[in-house]
Amino acid sequence: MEGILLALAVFLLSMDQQVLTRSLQRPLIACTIFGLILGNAGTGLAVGAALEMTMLSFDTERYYFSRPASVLYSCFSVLLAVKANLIAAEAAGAAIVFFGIGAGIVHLLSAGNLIFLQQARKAAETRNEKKLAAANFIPLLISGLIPAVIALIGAANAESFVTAMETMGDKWGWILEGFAALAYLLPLVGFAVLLRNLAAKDMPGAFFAGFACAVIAGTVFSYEAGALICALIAFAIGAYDYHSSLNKKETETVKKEKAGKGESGQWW
Amino acid sequence: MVVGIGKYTNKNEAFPLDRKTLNQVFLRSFFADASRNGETGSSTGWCWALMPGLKQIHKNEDDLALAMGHELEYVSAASPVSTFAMGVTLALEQQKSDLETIRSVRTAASAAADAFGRALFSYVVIPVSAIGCCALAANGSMLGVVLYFLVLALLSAGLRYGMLYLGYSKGVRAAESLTRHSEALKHAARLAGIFMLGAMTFLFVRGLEPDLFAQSQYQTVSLAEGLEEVLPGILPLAVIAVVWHMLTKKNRSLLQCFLVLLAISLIGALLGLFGGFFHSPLPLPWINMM
Repeated sequence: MEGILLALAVFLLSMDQQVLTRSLQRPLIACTIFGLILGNAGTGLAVGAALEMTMLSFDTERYYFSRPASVLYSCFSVLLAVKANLIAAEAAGAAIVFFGIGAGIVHLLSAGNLIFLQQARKAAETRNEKKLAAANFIPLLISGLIPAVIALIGAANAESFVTAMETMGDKWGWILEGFAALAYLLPLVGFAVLLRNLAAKDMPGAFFAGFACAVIAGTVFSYEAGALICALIAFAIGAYDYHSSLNKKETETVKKEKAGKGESGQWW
Repeated sequence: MVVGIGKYTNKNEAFPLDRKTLNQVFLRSFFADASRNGETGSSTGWCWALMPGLKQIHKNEDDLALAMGHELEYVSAASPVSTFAMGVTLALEQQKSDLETIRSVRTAASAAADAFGRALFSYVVIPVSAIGCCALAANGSMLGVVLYFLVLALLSAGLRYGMLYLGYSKGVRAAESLTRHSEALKHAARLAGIFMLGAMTFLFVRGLEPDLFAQSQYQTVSLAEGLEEVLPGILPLAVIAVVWHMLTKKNRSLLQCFLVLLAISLIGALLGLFGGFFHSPLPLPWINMM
């Protein structure tokens, strides 16, 4: 019963990593819920507070996009703390393999969801909103279901499960790393499609200027600050181009008017 | 047929969206990032969230299919502030703006809104509230957990709501005054959109540099640092050039591009080219990971 409740909580919280307000999945809240299910809310609180502080440092690092991995990690940290009587820091250290596995699942799904993108494109062609909704919600359910199954299997004997997962990670973890690299590369396909659709061939300078600005701003500042600075520059360039186009049009109109009057020879 | 390419048949401006429709979009926006995929980000959820508005705007069935198709292009809706870009997009759709204008403005607005939202939550809201609430929780008080949930949930929902309405009203006002000069606007929007795409190529894929070190008894050289010296972000730039070439010059399908990238990723991981959390079983013999 405990395992089923734990799996149900992991299922719901894993989905909260992507939808709604994304507040329940934070380690402090998730660990408290897991602690309550395991009958030891105090340990859940302590592990949650420790993990929350750890995750704060991940938020701004490379693992930003894998942050949703935190639910499975939180679950097994609390399981180990309660079942093996470990203190919060020890449990968090022992369960770290689940952070990698959780991140791997996120990246794996990022590639797997391309199947549903095809469904969504077909739904767009036929204006079928129900199919579009299915293409949106089935991946969500899958992203909750996989961690839930892992939690259900691991809940029975957490310690030996952690050891088994570590061995598996050593052997097959590279596949998850491959999908992590793919998750980094795939947005570039999306960008290339957008470039094609924007017919960017006649404006390569704008593309390279944006890239160069991002290199400077993104190296000096954080990713977010860099993106905001680039957005402001993009807005400024767009506004300048808009106004100069209008001025050019206006000048051309005046010239035409003058030329027209000149032809008649009666400017007065 | 390429989904989302073409021109609207009915170019007459649609009636402004009512509050009920915008509220539906607001509620759906909570699920906009449900099916994030590598290629187009949150596009499926984004399109689904906009559907109540799109259906009201495009009564012509072909136009609706076209709108749905181009809303499935790359977009990021991970942060609550992304609803601002949703509002602006709906405003431009309502004005029946040119497709290139809509996709350019959407790209720039969603990237900016996403970055602002992430920065707000990652650097301000989460750290400040987490430190306070964790201190309470460490003393065994449940109040810390409840407070943490309330701060994050209310702020996230409030921002979503406010930003959608702000984006829509600003978008309508801007689009109304700009429609008279649609050609100039289209050119300017394309310029800004392509500029932002160039920026995203570096910013979104930052951190992909191979984490490798060529090592001998005399010297250790970092490949990532070496590439940074040549040109930071050279790898994503090279990849996007190859994919663009495959799509436009070689007429390859998206699936073929995906398979090429999958092969590169798996082989790279097998050889330990990307570093990461797990060890590689076949690391290149002359290169070490540190």
